[in-house]
Amino acid sequence: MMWGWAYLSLAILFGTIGQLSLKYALLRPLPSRAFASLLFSGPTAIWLACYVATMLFWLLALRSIPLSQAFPILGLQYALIPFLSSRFLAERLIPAQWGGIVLIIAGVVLVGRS
Amino acid sequence: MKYDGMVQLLRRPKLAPTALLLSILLGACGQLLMKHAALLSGIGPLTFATVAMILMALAIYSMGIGCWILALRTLPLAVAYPVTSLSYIGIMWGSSYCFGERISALRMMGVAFIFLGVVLIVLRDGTVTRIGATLRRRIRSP
Repeated sequence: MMWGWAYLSLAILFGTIGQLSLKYALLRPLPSRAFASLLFSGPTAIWLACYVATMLFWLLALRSIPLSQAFPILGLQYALIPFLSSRFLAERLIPAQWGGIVLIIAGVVLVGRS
Repeated sequence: MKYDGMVQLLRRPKLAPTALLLSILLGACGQLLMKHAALLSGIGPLTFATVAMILMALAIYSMGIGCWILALRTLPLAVAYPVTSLSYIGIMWGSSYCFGERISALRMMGVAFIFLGVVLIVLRDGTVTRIGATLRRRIRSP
């Protein structure tokens, strides 16, 4: 069970890094329109690797954590991604979104303890 | 029907709600199959059956993502996202029905909190609202 939580945290972490790096990749002018060059350029490659890692850790987490508990907790990504985009990608958050982040964290704590 | 024909059909703006519901159904089935595969892989060595189950789960889950993208071509996120609450309901019900997981009131309350939080984040995003307005205009005057 202990390992399950570590795996779930890693799935959330890689999912978040993946989304942020995809956004970062798409912010810059594309080197060429070719799909392959987009797919294997730095940040997009990180996104792809993170996607695979997320799936792997998600499956490992599901070995011990009930789905009805793990799936809602995966929603923590929706709080982490806007928070980190506001820190690192210069995106602005409005108060309602900060409220959303607080609600998600509260919900994750509740589901984690349930 | 051929796979291509299926995708072409779901691309029609009229069928966007169908694509949305399909994406929720496939997504929830994909998650339940992943849990099933994870349980299979937990009890012994990695067999062919387990790998096949994982691949099937991933395939169904990917089809769900495809349908979600098709739905978003027409529907604004502000309309489509709240409907995904159905996937939380489906997954909670499925985990209890298929795997005998016990879902306490505390867990349900937590899920409601998380869902409301995501709705607040998704819906109050200026960019999303703007895209939604553009899409609505496009639907009205194609």
